[in-house]
Amino acid sequence: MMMIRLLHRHRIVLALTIAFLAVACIISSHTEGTSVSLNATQHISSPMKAHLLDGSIAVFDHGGDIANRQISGTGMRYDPTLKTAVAVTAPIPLDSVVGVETFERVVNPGRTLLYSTLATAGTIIGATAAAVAIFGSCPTIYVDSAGTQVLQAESFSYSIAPLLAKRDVDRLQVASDGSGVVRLTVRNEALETHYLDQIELLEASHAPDELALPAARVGIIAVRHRVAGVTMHDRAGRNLADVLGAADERVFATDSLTLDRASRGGPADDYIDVTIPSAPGRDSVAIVLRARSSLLTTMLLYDEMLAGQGAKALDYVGKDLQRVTKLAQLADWYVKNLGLRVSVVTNDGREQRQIVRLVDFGPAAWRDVAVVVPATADHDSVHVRLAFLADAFRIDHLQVFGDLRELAPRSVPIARVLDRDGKLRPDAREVLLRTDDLQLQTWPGHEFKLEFDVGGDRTGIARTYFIAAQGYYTEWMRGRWLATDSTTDFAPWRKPVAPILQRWLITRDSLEQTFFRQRVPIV
Amino acid sequence: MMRYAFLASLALAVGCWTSPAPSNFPPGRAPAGVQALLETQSGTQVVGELLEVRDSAYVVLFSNRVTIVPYLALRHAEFPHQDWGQFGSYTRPSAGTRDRLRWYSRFPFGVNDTALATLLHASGQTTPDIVASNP
Repeated sequence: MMMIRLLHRHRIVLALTIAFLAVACIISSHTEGTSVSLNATQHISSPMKAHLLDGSIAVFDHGGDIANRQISGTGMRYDPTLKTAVAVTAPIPLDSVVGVETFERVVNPGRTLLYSTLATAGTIIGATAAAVAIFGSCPTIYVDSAGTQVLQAESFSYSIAPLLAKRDVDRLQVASDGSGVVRLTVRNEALETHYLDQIELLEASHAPDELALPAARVGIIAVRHRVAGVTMHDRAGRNLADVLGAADERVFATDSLTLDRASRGGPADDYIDVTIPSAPGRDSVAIVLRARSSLLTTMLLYDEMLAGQGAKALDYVGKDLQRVTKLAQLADWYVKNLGLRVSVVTNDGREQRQIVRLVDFGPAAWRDVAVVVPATADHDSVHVRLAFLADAFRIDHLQVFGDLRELAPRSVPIARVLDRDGKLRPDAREVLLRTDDLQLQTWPGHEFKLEFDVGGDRTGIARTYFIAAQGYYTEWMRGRWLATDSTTDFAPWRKPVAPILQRWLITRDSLEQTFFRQRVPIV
Repeated sequence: MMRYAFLASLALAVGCWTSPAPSNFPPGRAPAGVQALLETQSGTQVVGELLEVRDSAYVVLFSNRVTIVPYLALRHAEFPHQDWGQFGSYTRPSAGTRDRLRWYSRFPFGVNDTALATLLHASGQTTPDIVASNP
């Protein structure tokens, strides 16, 4: 009993810990060669290769020692043609060595990548675009629709470091063609380097009158029978039934007065209260959302996090984000301040029980997601609150469904990868098939196509497809970020939110106007 | 603070799985370079071992002959057995890409005269073959 209380008291920490351990299990890294200094006495524990003046190569696969102007260790010495090899029986004098290489594990390209990409950014998209904030976009997934590429999803939008690498599942509106093939295009349209670990297609079969979509903490579910009589109001008291009633051009954003108050130190959160008529025998309902994050999240994570630190941002991304403790601080702050929290409200509003916190939204693509909430009636209705930092989300529609069931989607592996020229890339396919230490790296302007063999349709069965992608991305440092004089460490947990919202109010319009126009062109 | 300490200690106690250690990394344990799959502008397929990465060309052992393939002659290039996949940068590799890739070649510090002479002698060549840049 005491243990249960302890677990309950620390449930947030535990959840965070479990989340971290989960992502820790999919940390990916790569191995890089590097030159070994011959001037210092040192022990090399990684595999080491000495290249000699006569062209021969000595391989010490368990490492070796560099001391007293010679190299020693257990190894084999190969002639330049590799046709003969002999054991290394005596130390090799350094004056007969051209160079020594070793291999080390690198979790994040870090400073080297950031420095090297500084110059490259300008050459790819020009100085004008580089001066404009374009970030937080992640791999974008497109589907061909009558000859036009339509944006459908963006993957792992907040996986800004290897330790945050995660698997994202996004619903697609795509059908197979006449030959039973689903085709997708993956692009890197931001000033980011993407590290793609695995991509697969999930296929959910369901009845034609069901809607299939991912549900937080549940998996893929099918819903039907939309609940009538649902009412929705935000903090400002606006009736949202009309604007959120259908997937159309009308989109919810925080009321300007609510945002203004938050920026002046008032309540930082906005919310949407959803009242759902209860029904006998119904123990749960599914709230279906079509939403994306506003660029506030992008501004927070990058203008505050990176530009706010000046040149120190290089160390922050290259080193600090590789440390569990720093990531824990960031994640704790992120979870407290960002994300969309869904709670069931009971006892006339005096009690709230959080069901889930959604954080997987990107700023570019709409995301369809369901939240299964217990239909705990308070009087004659179920009351649900969606709370979030003021102006952090755009919501296209919100619907409630009374019938839901879990689906067991079929995994469809990538059948073919094609580069932009239409050339088959079996090497890239091999990299993307499994979650392992192999990653596909893409740079701004890269595009490739994926084909999945899903087979033909079956009469009376509907199929919905989901893209499941795992990986992370690193942001390119902009010159103007590094040029700032600030040398302050990034510590958002010590900052009030109101000044950030004040800056957001100033930059929001220009940021939203330029964001989509300034995408990196696919080359 | 206790929360972070708890989280960190638990994570550290359990440990993290990452990629295989460098001691299990094949290019680190063998003298040979990785496989190069090159396609020239004329459509010729060149498959061989990567010997050297130069500023303007790859040097490969193709059909047991030392062959220099200038970047300008390439339509396509792949190195499937290295640690990372990558799109679109091997045909005209940047300085950064060349610097990373050279560690996957047999001679990351360059093929010196002695080694080149040995390789040419073994293959019966007097000079390396050079793929024409403008077929």
